[in-house]
Amino acid sequence: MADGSFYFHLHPLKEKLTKKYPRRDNEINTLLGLFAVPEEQMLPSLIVYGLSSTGKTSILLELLTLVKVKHCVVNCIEAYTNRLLLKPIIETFLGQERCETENIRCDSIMQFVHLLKAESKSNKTFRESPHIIVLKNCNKLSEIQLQAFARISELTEKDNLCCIMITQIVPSQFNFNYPIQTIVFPQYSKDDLLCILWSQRPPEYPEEFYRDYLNLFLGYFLHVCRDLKELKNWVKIVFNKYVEPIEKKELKLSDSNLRSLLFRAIKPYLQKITNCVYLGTDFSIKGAVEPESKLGNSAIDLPMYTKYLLIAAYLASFNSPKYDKRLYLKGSDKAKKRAAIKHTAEKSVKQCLGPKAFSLNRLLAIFYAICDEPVNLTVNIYSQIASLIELRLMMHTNSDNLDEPKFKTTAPFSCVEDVGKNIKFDLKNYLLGV
Amino acid sequence: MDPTNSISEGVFAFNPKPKKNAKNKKAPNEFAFFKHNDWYKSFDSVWSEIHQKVVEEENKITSELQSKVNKFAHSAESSTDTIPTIIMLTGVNLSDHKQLFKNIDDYILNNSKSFTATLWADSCTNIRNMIESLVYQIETTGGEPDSEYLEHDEDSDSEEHQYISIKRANQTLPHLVNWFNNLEANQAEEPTKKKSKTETEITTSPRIIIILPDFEAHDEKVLQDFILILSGYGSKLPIVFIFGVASMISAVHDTLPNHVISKLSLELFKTPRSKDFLNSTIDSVFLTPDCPFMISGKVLNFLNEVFLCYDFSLKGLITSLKFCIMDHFFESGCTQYCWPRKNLADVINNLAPEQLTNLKRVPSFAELIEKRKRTNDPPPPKTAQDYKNLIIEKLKELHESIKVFYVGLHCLQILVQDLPERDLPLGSDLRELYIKAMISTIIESNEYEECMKTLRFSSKPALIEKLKKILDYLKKPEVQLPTVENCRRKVERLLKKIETASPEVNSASESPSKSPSKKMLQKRGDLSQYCLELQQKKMSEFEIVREEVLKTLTSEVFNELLVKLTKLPFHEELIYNKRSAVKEAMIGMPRGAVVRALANPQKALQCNCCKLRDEGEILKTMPDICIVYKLHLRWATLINVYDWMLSFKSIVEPKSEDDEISPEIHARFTQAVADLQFLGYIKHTNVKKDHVVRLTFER
Repeated sequence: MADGSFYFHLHPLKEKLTKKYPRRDNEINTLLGLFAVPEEQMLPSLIVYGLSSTGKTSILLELLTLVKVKHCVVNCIEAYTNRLLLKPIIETFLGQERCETENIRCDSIMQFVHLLKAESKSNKTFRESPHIIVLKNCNKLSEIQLQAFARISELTEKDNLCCIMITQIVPSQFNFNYPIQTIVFPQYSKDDLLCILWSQRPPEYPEEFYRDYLNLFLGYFLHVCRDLKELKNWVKIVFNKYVEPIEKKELKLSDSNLRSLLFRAIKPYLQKITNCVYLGTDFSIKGAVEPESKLGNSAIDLPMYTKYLLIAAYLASFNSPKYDKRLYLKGSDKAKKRAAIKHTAEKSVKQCLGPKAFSLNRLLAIFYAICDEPVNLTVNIYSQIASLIELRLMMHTNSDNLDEPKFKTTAPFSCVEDVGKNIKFDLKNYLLGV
Repeated sequence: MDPTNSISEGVFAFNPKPKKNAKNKKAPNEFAFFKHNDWYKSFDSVWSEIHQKVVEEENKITSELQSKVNKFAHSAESSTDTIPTIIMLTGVNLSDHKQLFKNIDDYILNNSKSFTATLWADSCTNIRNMIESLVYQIETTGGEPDSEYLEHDEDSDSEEHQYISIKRANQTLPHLVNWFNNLEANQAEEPTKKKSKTETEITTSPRIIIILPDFEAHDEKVLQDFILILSGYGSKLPIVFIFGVASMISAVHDTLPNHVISKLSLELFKTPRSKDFLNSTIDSVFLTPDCPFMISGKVLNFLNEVFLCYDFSLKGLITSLKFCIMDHFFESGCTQYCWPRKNLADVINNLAPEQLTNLKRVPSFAELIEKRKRTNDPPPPKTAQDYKNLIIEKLKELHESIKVFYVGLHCLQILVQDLPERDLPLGSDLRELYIKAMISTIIESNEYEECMKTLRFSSKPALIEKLKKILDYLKKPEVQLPTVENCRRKVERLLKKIETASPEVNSASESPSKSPSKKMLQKRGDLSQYCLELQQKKMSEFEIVREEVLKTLTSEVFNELLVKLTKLPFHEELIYNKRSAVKEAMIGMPRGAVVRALANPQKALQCNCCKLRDEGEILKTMPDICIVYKLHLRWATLINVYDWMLSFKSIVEPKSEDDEISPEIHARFTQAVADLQFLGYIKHTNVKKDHVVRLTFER
C-alpha cells in the first residue's frame, strides 16, 4: 500500500473532502483507507456512528460517489415494509429496467439473498465489481434484518459486498454476535464549530469583527445547543440583529468601544432567543420578538364549563381523594387551612410524582363543587371531556375498561393556572401545599 | 329473487345483482314525507335562504385566512433542509374543523394547480396507512374533475375507489415521485392547454399540500416517522404541511422532538376566535329585519349559553337554529301567512275560512278581540272581511315595529358599545342587547341605568361623536319610517344643543360667591354647606345639557324605538319562543332522561294506562323497574331487600292475601333490581347482607 501511486490517487480526493468538510480529517482518512480503492478486499460491514449533524452521511456519500463505487442508500425509517427496504437495493444493483421486464419481486430477506447469490454466480461483472449498501438510521430495522445485513456478504457469498450502517444510537445497543468495525464521528468541539462557522462568514465585514461576534454567539448558544445545523441557522439570524445598529448608521465600525456597545444592544435579545432554540426556526424568531402572548399558554380559549372541567381534572389529579371532603364541602375552611399547612412537605413530593388517575365520578363531583352555577349534566359536558382528551389536556388511562373509565390530566400547571385566572378561580387555594 | 323451480333439495346461491345507478343514489330527503304540506314549503324556503346567508358569512370570515394560507403555501421556499409548515391555531371547536379545512382545501384546489391530501387521524393509525392514504389522495386529485368532487363527498368515498384505482403496492413515495415527475414533464410539453385557466391562478409551480386537520389526535410515533420520511423527499417533491392545532402551540413542541422539528420551518396562522364567528353570524344573519324568522330573547340566550359555556361549535348552533325554525313552522299552522311583507294583503285576503279561523285563534289576537268586545271601543269586527282587514292592519303594525325595534337596537349599540369594559353591563354585542331588550323593557333595567351613569361622565367630543353616529345611522335610506323620522329630528335637535353648549362654568355667577364664602368659613357647618354649594355650582352649561340629552334619549328616543314586541298581537306567530322545546331536543341529558322515564313512564311509553295523578303514585300497570325504582325512593340509605320485595308484591298483586311469594313475582323483582343496579341506583353492601345501598339522592 505504501507505493507512490496509491497516494497519488488518494491525494486529490482527500484535499477535496477536507476542504469541504473541515475538522473531519481523521474520519475522512479512515474512510478513504477503507474505500479509496474499492477493487481491493472490502470489509463485510461497517458501522458509522455519530450524533445528528456531525457529517456522517454527507461525507460518506460524497466519498462513495467520488470513488465511483456502485452503492445504494436506504433510509430505514421509510422501510416500513420489507419490500420498500429491499426493492431499491435490488433495482440499483440489477438495473431498474431489468427488474421491471423480468418482474423481479423481493418481499423478504431470504428472497433478497437468493437473488444476489444467483446473480453473482451467473454474472461475472456483478461478481467482480464492488457493491455497497448504505442503511441510514439502521436502528429502525428489526433485529433479524440487522443481523442479516451485517453478514450480507457472507450470506450471498459475494466478497466485495459491503453494508454500511449509519446510526445515531450507540453501536453497543445492537447485539451483533461478532465484532464489526465502527467509525465514530465525534461531536464538534467549540473550536471545530468556530472554524466551520468562520468558513461561512459574510464578506462585507472585517474578519476581526466577525470573530468577535462568533465568540459571543457561541458563548451564549453552546450551553443550549451543539447541533451544527441549528447553529448555522441561528448564527445568520442573530448576526442580522447584531449588526442592526451599524446598518442603521447608529454606530460605526471604527468606533472604539464598538464591541461593548453592540454587546449591550444584543444581550436582552440573546437571552430571550436562547429559549427558542429547537422550536422550529421561523416561528420562534417572531415568538422571541413579539410579546409572549403568542408563545404563552394563555392562547388557549375554552368554553366556560370546559375551563371548569379542566381545573377539576387538574385538582383531581394532584390532590389526594382523602382531602376532597375538606376542600370542596362548604363550611370547612378551617380544616382546609390546616390541611394546607400540614401537608406541604407531602404535597411537594406529590407534585413531582406527576398526575394520578381519577375516576369520572370524582371528576364530575369536583366539577360541581367548584362550579358555582347549577349545571345540568348533559351530553355536552360528556362530549367536552372527550374533546379535552382529544386536545391532549387529559388522557384516558384504562381505555379498555368501559365501566369505570379513569383519566389523568396532562395539562401543565401554567396552562391550568391561566385558565383559572380567566374565570377568577385561584387554583392555588385549592391545591394542597403549593 | 326468483323462486327456484327445482324439485331436488339443494342450496342455491343467488349472487346479488349489481345495483344500477348506485353511484347516483342520493341520501333520501328525510323530509320528503312532508313535501306537500304548506308549513314544510315555507320552512324550506326560509331555511334555504338563511342557510345560504350563513355560508356566505362563514366564507366572508375565513376567506382572508384562506387566501393567506394559500399564498404562503405557494410562496414559501422549500429548501432541501426544511419543509415549510403552516400551523393553524384553530381553537377548540372541534366539530367545526371539518368544514373549515374542507373550505381551505377547496380554496387551494380552485385557486392553484397544487395537489392536496387531507389526513385525518382516524385513518392514519400506522405509518403505512398514512403514506398510502397520502399517495392515493394526491394522485387522485389530479384525476377527472368529477371524481375530485366525489372524493370530498363523504358518503361516496367508498364508491369513488372503484373509479380510480391505484394498486396498493404502488401507493408508495417513490411511486409518487415518479408520478409527479411525469406530470411535470407532461405539463411542460403542453403548456398552452391550461393557459386560459392559469390567468387567475397564482403562477407558481404546483405544490403538494398535506393537511393534518387534527394534529393532536395523531399518534406521536407515526407522526414523527411521517415527517422524517417526507423530509427525505424534500428535494424531490415540493411538500407543504398544514397542521391544524386546536389547543396551544406548545402541543407541537410536546409531540415532536427536536430532531423532527428541525426538519420543519414553522409559520403560525390563527383562525378568528369562535366568538367572532358567533357574533357575525348572529348579527348579520338572524338579527336583521330582513331575516324571515325571529327568536325570542330567552331562546337566543339559551343558544348563546350553550355556545359559550359548552362547545363553541357553530355547527351545533346552526343546527339548533334549524330546529327552532322547523319547530316554529310545524307547531303553529299559520306562520306562513304572517311572513310575506310585500303581498301580505293578498295572502290574507285569499285565506280559506278554516285558515282564517286558525288565525283568529292566535292567543294575542284573540285577546285583542276579546278586549274590543268588552269595551266596544273600537267595535269588534263582524264579517270575515272585517277580520281580514284587522289582521292585515295588525300584522303591518307588527312588521313595522320590528323594523323600528332593530333601529333602536343599533342606536343603543352605538351609544354603549365603547364604554370601558367593567362598565359594560349591557354588553357590547348586538345579540346581548337584543336578548335584554326582548326579555324585558331595557330602559327600565338596572343595567341601562348603570350605562347612563357612566355616560354622564363622557366628554363633549365623545358624546357629539356618538350622537353624530346615531344620526348617520338614522339617515340611512333603509331605515326610513315615520317613527324613526321623528326620532331623528329629536336627535338632531339634541346634537345642535350640545354643540353650542359651552364647557365653561359660568364664571359670572360664581365669582361673587367666592369672597363671602371665605368669611363664612369659620364654622364647621358652613364648610359642608360651602362644599355642597361648590358641587352644585360646578355644573357647567355643557353638563346640564349632557344631563338633558341623556334623559331625552331615554324617554323620547329609546322609549319610542325599543318597542316591547311581545305585547303586540300576532307576536307568537313571528317570534319563536319555546325554550323548553329546544332544550329538550338539542341538549341530551342521559341521567335526567333515565330518572324521568323511571319516575313517570307514561312520558316515555306514551301509553294511556300509566297516567299519574301525582308524582308519588305507583300503578300496577307500570313496568316492574319503575315500580321498584319508585319504591326504593321511600327508603333512606339502606334498603331491606325482603321488605322491598313485599311492597313490590303488594303493588303487583294487591288482592292476594297470603304472604307466599310466587316464583314469578320473585323473578320479576330480581330482574328489576338487577336492572336498577346496572343503571347505578343501588349497590350491594357487606355491612348488612340482606340490604342494598341506595346511591342516588335528590338534591
